[in-house]
Amino acid sequence: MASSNIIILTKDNFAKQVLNSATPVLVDFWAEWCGPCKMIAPVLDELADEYSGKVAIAKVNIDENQELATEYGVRAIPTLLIFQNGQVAEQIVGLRSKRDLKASFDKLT
Amino acid sequence: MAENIPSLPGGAVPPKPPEGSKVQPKKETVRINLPPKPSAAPTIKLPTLPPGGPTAGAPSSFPPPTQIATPTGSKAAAAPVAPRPSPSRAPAPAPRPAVSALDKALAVVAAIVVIAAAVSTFLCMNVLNHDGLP
Repeated sequence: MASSNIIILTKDNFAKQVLNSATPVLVDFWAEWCGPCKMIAPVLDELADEYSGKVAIAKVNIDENQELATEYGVRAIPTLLIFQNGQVAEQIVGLRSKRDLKASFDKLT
Repeated sequence: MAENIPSLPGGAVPPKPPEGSKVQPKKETVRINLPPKPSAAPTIKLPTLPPGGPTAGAPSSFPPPTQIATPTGSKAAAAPVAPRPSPSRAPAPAPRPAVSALDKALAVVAAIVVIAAAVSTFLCMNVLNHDGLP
């Protein structure tokens, strides 16, 4: 079960939830049929709970929001974009460990 | 049967990770094909100025309009373009200026001077021939 702290993004709420967010936001571009995406999902759920209030974690289903994936040049999934002050601060492509992601978060906070 | 299976050469065995090192997960990804990002944002074409020049109400701070290709090339977005003068309508070359009266007078004077010089030369030669020869 996905964490309640995970934000589901669409093109309608992307600007409000990500670009105008006061806290860093990790955006996970994923798809249902993507195995590595499913593998990283529980890690992101845990991080969403651990970093609640400090780093927001959001998801973009690329099948439902191709425009967003195209906008940010997503060519492979999972792609994790960390936004800070409306700008892409870090791009992570592929499966990563929880420790690596925490290290990226700790650099931002 | 087991003895017929050749043993793997040493190089085929993946090297063991060093003791104590933590195994990093593979950076597994799934390639996706998405439509390419538009290379240029849609542009707003400024209306072209009339041939007579900017009108009093037209903003003068706009730069001259440049033709930028839109990615879609829709006909609806195409701004009207000021008609270019066709080659057939090109202004005819200016007529050659007519010879002025002053030019004609100078030409006549020059001709007279040349004739006078020739006549005087001829006369001088005759005089010298009659007077100079013993």
